[in-house]
Amino acid sequence: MTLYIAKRLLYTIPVVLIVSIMVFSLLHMAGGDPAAMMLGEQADPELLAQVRKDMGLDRPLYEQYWNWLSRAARGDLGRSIHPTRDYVSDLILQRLPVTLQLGLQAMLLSLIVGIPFGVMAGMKRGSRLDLLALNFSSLGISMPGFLLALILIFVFSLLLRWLPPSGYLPPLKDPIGNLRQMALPTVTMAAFLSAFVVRMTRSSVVDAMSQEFIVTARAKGLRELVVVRRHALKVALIPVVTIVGLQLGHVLGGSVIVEYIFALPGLGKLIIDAVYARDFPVVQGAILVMSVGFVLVNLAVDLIYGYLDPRIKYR
Amino acid sequence: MRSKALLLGAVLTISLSLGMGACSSQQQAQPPVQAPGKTPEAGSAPAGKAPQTTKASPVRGGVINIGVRREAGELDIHKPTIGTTRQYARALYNALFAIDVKGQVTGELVDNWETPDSKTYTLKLRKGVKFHDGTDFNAESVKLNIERILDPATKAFYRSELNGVASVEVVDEYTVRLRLKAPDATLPGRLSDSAGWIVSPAAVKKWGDQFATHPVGTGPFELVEWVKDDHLTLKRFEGYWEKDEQGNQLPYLDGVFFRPIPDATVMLTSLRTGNLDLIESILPSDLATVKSDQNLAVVEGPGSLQVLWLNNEKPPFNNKALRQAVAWAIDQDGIQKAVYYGTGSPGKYLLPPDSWAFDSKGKFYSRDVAKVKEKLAEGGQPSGLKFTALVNNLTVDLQYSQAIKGQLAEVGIDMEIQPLVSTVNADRRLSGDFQGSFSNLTAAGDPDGSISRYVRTGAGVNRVRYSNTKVDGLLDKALEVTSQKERQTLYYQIQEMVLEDSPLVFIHHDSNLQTMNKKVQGFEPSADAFIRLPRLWLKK
Repeated sequence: MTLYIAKRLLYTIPVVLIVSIMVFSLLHMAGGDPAAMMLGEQADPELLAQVRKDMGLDRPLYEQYWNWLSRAARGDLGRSIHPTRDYVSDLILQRLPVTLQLGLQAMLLSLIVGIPFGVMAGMKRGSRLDLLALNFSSLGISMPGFLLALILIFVFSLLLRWLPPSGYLPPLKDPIGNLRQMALPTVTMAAFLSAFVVRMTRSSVVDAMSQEFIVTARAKGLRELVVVRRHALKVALIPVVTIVGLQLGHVLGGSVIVEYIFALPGLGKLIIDAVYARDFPVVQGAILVMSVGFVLVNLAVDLIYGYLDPRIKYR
Repeated sequence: MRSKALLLGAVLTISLSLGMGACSSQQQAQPPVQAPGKTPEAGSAPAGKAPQTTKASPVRGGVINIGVRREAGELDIHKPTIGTTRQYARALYNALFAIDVKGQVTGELVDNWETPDSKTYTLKLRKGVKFHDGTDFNAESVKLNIERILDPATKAFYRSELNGVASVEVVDEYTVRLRLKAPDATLPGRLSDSAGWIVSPAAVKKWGDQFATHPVGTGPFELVEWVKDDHLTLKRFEGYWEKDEQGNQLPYLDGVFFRPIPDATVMLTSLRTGNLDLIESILPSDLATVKSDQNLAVVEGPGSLQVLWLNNEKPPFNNKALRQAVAWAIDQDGIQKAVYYGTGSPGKYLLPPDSWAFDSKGKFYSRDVAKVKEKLAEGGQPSGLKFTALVNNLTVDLQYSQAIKGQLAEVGIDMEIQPLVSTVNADRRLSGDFQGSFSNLTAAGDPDGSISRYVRTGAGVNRVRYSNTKVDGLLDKALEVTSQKERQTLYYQIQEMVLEDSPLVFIHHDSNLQTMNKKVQGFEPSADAFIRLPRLWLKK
């Protein structure tokens, strides 16, 4: 087992490396001069050249990448090209809690709503409840995040005046305010995530229910609820665990849109602002952190499988 | 039981989303407002909704919440930074001079000034002004500021603006003499921004590199807290020098809270819900929504100029007649109505219509199908013209470029639109890899700033690669003479030549639509579109 974990951790390295090279290349291919972005096209050309030199942009690409990589390997993610020259690691650590809070809340909400919904739909297949679940999940998947966000803002902020439309209050300073401000962003993200959860839970329950050992349990005369809880659920949860792992990808990507619209100072917004500004160190540092995180969560998910499904063994 | 409650919750969520689609209570766009052109005076918001009642007397106190599109870049105003940082600078610092919306220069930290000869400026400074840290503002601090900007180690953004300064002398405690290498009539105007910002030399010495996070100026507000990308809080500087007409000390407000919100819709919504009191801009298409909201008021202030750059060095636009053909094909009034909902004014020239250097009696281009055909023939393309135009990938830019495409198609000119990220567009202009390119120009304080850099031979932002030595000669002369009347004559001549050569085509002077809750009083539009804070107050 430990060998398996070690192997997986080793695989992380090429994956993360390839991602960082791709990001680096794409960002440079996209064109645009960070100095001009920052100072404006109408700035003094001599100053632009100077600033570009300060940012290290006059070096050849491979040298720039290698400089970044060698420092990153030592844990030094460099500094933002932005005038305040913040340390990239500082920026990431500042923003990570917001994105984590948003992501965890959204995932939790999607599971709280989605699993029971999915289970009941699966148990009462073909019923009106089931149809409701299917339609609900179709809606959740097809509704674009930014559209849902704007609709929610319109209803809950503008019409009803229940919740604020934007901004962020740190949870330690103002817990109630924080929850109020995170409510709409959480629902926006959870809508998409819960759609998957409902579908997958439903179909895996349907599947599990028709399995032989369930039939056996019923034949033994066990009550339906016990049948479900003791036998079907654990098996049914396996695909759900997959979803949770995959959701992480959506959470990371979706956080960009949600954070941008609601003006939340999270990792997603950091990345998008940095991409617009061609702030290479920040983009690469943040994506490095995200890809490492993603790979590790996937590893954790696979290990949980081992626990849930006794047939799975790792070597 | 628990699952039933959750189910109910889920059902509610669905029905709400579905219900949203059904009951669209969004206002329908109202017909474009017939605004009487751009009137920058205060209280000129169209439809008679003046935001301030000049009779009410200002109330002291309160904190205003301001929404801006972008985060503060850098609070050390001498350093390179993004342009919008100047909004924050207006709160923290003062400059030596100030410019009003018509382009007239007045003193800010300078009380008055003389030019004993064309290469010398004697500045008499305002007395009794203090920095936030308690140190005095005087001639010595002006000298230190200028030296800081000129020092290569500072890497000051505006260093090149002071290239013409030969020496700075402290004559007495409140008098500074600047000697220039060559005559320059534009210096006071330019020192209302850029190299004219004054920071506290004592604070620079004390904080060194950290000055950016501990900015100290003479401005109406001091920094309390800056959380990057989230908010910036300021409080009143009790020792601020400026007083109102009744002798009350400014600013009226206790504090200011800036919040950057990138999405325009969310920013407007925050204003409507009362989370914000004042926002720096709205899209023209939101004008109807704002006008129908009883609690909001709009003030139109000067914005930027939308232009179509034509590459004068490459075909087809190395041919003057063809450039003129495009100029005769554009219907600026139509664009003002359709894209800008009547705000702003049609683009006629590099200068806005109310600038003192603008000749309103000049010969301008407007839509004239006959002239288009005549010029196309003259240029050797009687059957029509085809070219590609680069556009920034932004809402309004895409709209007006589409409108222009239609206008040109009607007269046989086929313009292909290529949307690009603005930085890439800018790169292509820089390298000359374009035929046509849309962008906007921000006004500068002095007319020279709005003209030279775009049309002078070899100038920094002369993307069209236009070169006319006669124009260059006139521009130089306009810097040498100090009488505004003489300069005006020269600028009128330059205008005539530039319009005749038509190196670029003017589309629209847009208005900056600053929008606020009606409780915000004392708001006046400014020449650089940044909000001026000292005289703002909140009605209870």
